[in-house]
Amino acid sequence: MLKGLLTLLFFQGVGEAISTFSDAPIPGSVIGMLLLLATLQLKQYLFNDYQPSKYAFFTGLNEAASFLIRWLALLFTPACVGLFFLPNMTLDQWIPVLAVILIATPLTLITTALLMNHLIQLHIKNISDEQS
Amino acid sequence: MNLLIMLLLFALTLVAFSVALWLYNKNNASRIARSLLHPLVVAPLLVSTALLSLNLDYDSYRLASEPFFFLLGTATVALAIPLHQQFHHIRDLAKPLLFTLFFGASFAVISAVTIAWCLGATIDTLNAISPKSVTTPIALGIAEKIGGEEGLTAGVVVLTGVFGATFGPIFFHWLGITDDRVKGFVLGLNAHGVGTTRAFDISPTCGAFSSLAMGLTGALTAIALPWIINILHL
Repeated sequence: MLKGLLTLLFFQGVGEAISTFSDAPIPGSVIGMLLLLATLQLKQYLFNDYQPSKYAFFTGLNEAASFLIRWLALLFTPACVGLFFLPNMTLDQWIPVLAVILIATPLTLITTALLMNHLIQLHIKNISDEQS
Repeated sequence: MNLLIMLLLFALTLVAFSVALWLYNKNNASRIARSLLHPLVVAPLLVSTALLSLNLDYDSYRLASEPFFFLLGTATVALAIPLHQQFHHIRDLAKPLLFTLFFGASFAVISAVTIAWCLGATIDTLNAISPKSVTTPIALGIAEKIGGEEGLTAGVVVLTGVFGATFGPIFFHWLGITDDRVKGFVLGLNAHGVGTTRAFDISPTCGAFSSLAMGLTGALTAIALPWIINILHL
């Protein structure tokens, strides 16, 4: 678990460093996430092992990750508190914000659900056509 | 600042979150009322009430909570593990998954920004709400890069997640969608972590596709959105 946490911190550090020095507008933690994903995929491809545990660098990674993800909601509670202490928010800005949550969210949800449902059915049909 | 106050402010989050979790598990109201009383809605309310009634300022609280913000970055890196474990689905279902991802992630941003702009939102508000469908730790990273107000981004993201996770399954029922892979992917794409928790209640397959969609949407939006905003500002 502690080793796993160190591995995560290592990738976080590398990601932050790349984000700072390259001036790329991508958040450092996302660069770290993509680097870790690439490393795990590469390792799986090269050594054909699925679980990240065989090498010291990867021990405890699953435990550390599930621990952090399990408590993710706790971790961003302080950021949400900021919603109640916004200095420049006026009433006329709350209307568009609420509208976005109440209108844009169901709109995107329904559109993506219908689209993907259609695409998956096409995909299933293609596979069964190929087999027959 | 006084160490004792710092310690108390840090503990305040832990206490408020525990109380919110306890209320959530104890609550035996209807399913919809229950999921709207998500700990992520109740805990910040409790913290804010405590800060206001004890006459403590938000800046001290923000400073004392710095460890949470740091670990949020670590947790973002940790999202690579579920993404890695579910990655093989992309190979099996490349076309439907990637097409829905590109369309859905762009549509989420475009619909939000268009609606807000039509109703008179300022540039600052637009920046803060544009990453609304992205998992909170990534959305906060994006907000930092594009200059959106942190509290507004977190609030909009969480409310989108809670709203999407509550009503998503009802919409699926109306639309006659029965495929758990579609339900999961759509929940993860639109309602990120809150939706993924809901998806794991439906079935393990649903949860797996939801965490895959959450990671992919977060990564895609984080890469594309700051570039697009940079170009638009020129």
